[in-house]
Amino acid sequence: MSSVLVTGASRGIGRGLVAAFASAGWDVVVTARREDDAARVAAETPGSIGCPCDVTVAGEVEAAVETAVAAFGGLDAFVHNPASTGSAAPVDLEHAPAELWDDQAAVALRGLWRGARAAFGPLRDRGGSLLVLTSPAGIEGSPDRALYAAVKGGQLGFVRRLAPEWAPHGVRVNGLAPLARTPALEHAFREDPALEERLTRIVPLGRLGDPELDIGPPAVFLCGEGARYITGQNLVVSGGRFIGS
Amino acid sequence: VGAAPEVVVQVGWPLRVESDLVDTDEAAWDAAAEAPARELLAALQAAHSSLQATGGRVVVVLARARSVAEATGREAARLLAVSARRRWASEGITVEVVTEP
Repeated sequence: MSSVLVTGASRGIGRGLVAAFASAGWDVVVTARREDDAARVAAETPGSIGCPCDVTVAGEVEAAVETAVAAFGGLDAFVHNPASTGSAAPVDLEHAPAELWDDQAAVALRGLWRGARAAFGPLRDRGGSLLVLTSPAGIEGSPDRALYAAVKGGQLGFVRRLAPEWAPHGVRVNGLAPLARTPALEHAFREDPALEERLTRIVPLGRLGDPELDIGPPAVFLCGEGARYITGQNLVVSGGRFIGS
Repeated sequence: VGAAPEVVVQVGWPLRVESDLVDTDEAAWDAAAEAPARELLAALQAAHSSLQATGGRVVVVLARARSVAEATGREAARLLAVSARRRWASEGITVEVVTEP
């Protein structure tokens, strides 16, 4: 049986990924900053275990990887999903303090660096894969969320450069850019009731994705044997909202 | 009538980080992957402050990346510039990105 560690799995897309991997028969390590959140999601997901992990804290992601290897005998996939609190909120680019950049980079970039380094050995041992949850904003930019777009762009640079570096070791590296209904989006809809209709209207398939049913299966595919010849790619899963070159 | 004001910002690395990812320590990661966008943010804000009354052009020149850390930093900076381009177009400020091949 294959095993996967999902970071940032307490809610939203991360929680959906956990459910999708478990449904596909994977052993899952559910990680979240708060131990009770990780335990809650693990309790509702057969075949999974919970583990606290704040990717901004040195040592925690390394400990989570060790937990996965000890529990399941190895690690076939590592999924980097977390984002800093409020990362999707609008930002006044002209006056945004450097600290705001540092907050986002600590989770999206430094947390990714930390997780990839920790997971490399176990992934190499199993010919596994690293999957990074990116965003269409990292491709087209965002006038209202420039810092979010920047960290997501950075993640794409990371994926494209790391893929050839790790390919000789048999480790694949890919990105997945989702558009899905998440708690953050639900909050935004409550703040701006017309937003949901505006957003839905520009999605050719006419709806926002479901984290488990629409985003989860492509993630499972990219981490699994069916994608064993795919590396360095970024799969946009957005109902046709973003059709890039 | 003179030419529109222009600001040129060069994004690079004073000390290159060419190590493989697993051999890149935290200080090198910060310098190569996170500092470029942090510094570009300050430069773009200064450029906007200078150009908002007149309009003008910002040119962001991105150095060639030699490692995963530098590729991360370069793409973060590039998307920051792309976002600024979209945000400031209506103010008559254009942002162009030139990438060293």
